[in-house]
Amino acid sequence: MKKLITTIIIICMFAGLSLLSDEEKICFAVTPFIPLTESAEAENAGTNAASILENSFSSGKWFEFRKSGELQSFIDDLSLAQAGIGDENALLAKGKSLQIKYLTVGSVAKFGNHYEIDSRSVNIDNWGIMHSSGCSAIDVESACNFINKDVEITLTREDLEKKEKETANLPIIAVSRFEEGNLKAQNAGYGGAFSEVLNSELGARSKIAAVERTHLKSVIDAKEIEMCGIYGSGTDKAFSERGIQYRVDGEIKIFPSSICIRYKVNSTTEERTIYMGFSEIGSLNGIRPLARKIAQEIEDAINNKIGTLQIQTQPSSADIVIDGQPSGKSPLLVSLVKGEHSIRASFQGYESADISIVLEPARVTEKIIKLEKISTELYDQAVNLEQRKNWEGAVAKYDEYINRYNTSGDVNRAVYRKGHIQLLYLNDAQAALATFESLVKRYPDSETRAEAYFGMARSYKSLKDNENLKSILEILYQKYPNELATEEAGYVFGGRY
Amino acid sequence: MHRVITIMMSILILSLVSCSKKKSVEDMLKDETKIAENADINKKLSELKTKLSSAKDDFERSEIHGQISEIEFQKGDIISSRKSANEAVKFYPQSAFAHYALGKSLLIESRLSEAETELNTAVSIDQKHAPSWYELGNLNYIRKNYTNAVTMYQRAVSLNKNFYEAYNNLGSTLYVLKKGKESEQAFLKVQSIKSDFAPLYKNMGLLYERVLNDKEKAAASYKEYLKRRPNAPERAAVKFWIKALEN
Repeated sequence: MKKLITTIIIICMFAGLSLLSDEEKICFAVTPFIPLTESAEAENAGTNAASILENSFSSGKWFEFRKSGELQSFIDDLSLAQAGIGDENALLAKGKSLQIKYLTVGSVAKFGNHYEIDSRSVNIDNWGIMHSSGCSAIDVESACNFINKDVEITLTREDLEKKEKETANLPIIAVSRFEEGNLKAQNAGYGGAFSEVLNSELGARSKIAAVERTHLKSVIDAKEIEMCGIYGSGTDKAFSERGIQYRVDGEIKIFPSSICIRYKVNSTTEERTIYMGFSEIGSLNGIRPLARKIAQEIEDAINNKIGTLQIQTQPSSADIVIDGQPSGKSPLLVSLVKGEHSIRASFQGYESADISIVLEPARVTEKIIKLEKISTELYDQAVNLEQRKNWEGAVAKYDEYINRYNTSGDVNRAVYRKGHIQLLYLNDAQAALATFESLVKRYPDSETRAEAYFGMARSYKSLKDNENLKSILEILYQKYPNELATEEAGYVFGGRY
Repeated sequence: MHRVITIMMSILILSLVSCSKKKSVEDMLKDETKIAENADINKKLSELKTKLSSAKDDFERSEIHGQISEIEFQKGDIISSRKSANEAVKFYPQSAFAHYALGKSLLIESRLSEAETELNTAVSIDQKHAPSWYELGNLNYIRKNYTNAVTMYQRAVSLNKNFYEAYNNLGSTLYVLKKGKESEQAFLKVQSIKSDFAPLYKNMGLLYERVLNDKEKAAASYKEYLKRRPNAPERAAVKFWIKALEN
């Protein structure tokens, strides 16, 4: 009897234990790695690497492993997504139906006898990188053995849980593309490999949450025309729509004994560059250490060097210029490097306001700017004097108005009127020229810019300076072909240059 | 006994060798940076910087700063390039090249208004400076002012008939404007100047596929692209495009 009871108790304990361990198991799968170079593809390096890792993973004690053979349809869809084709939402839904929690994806690049292999385990719900590992090696097997050892030590249940918890509140970032900026770089094909290595290194950081690039391939490798000298424009919105706040891209150029890498971080909501850097190494051996350094730098920049400024104005929709750079209209939320910044707010009919603020990192600084309405009294007085043909009086009054409200864009009309009077009524072509030149320089976006160039042309004509007259007319015809002032210039000066 | 001792010593030595400290990541990076410092391009930069101290006047200083800016830009060190260009402008504000160098650095930094001012200054000083017109074209393209961009690129190629980058961007902008035949002409011009320019073939592929509706030529162009750029980052995608066109 005692023996029977003991046996029953032991059986129940084992049953309980196995139930417990079944509940705790997390489901993993490994998919074929992307071959980034022709030579890697030719020797099936991507499939080989995934196969080696799959064999090691399948002996994992704390997670349930789904063999790739069971997921063929999902893997086929994933290949399409990695090629930038196919619906990523449909892929996500399929992954969920297979009850996979984490997917291990990766890439293999081969350059001569040198392999770069990267492996990343991602949460299939949001494609956040939960674990990454990479290796430079002389063969696929050595690299995969290194990755396996790394996974055994650093990919534990506790690590995963900690990472899941921490990344929930971190800034979200993804790597876009590193363009190959010269012929040597294009021939070498380092752009794709570097993007993957950086992807892995960002995934290993603890103060930013990196999203797997595979998930974004439809955006990164979109069927877009390739311009010389213009990279990455137009993708910020697509990243922002996917909940990614920061996008990293850059350019690689290769010279003898020098690999130059320029990198920048864009805020996808503001569609502007918030951080830029440059580094140089002597050979491919430096790719991985450099990527680690850049990842550290980016993490530091986002968390310690960059703060957020929130500007509101009364009235709203004022033009905001920050540190001399037009930044949009208020209300405005913008990321800037920490420290002091100059801000100008301008709105038609109101005096421009110039202020200085000091930004703290990783914080939102709020500023409300109240603009003062411009009084048109001085301008009306000047117009009145003009109508009464009191030219000197009108010029003096326009000057008073200009000096009083010189930072406001509305002043451009007063400057134009002043130049017009000087040229046509005071017959002072030299003074008129100086006035029109100041209009062009100080108010580059003014509505009277074409008129200012026309005024300059007429001034040069009066001064009998045919060379400068010709130059100015060329600028007028090239830049403002559809303006009335340009049409009038055509009549006055007898046709286009 | 002697043999046993020899074997044990060998094992000890081997284990010491394998346990000897591997280079840290930081040290590897330092070594790589040192190699790069001795690259020809950096030696050239050092020579120019040394030459600055013996420049005889502001004009020469401006020229040297301009050359330094150009090399820094070529490398991709945009912030240094911009600073050098600023110095070039400071020492000789009448230099079209200096304003151009400053303008193109500002453009990469997405400081569009400032870039425009500098590039406009460059062309007002020297209307025949084709690279300035080209960068103005790029600026207008970024702002989506495609018609203006075409005008600027056309100006650039009229001044320099071998300016394949300007022809490429002209063709690309005409593609965006759906002006198929004109776009094709521009791309064919690139091909006649620089037939090994890989991105040209991708662009032609897009043109034939999406505007001129010639699937055969599109597939052929994409294949040419992969032939010239077998390690292109988007190679997997391009292969799918070819497959889709051929089916």
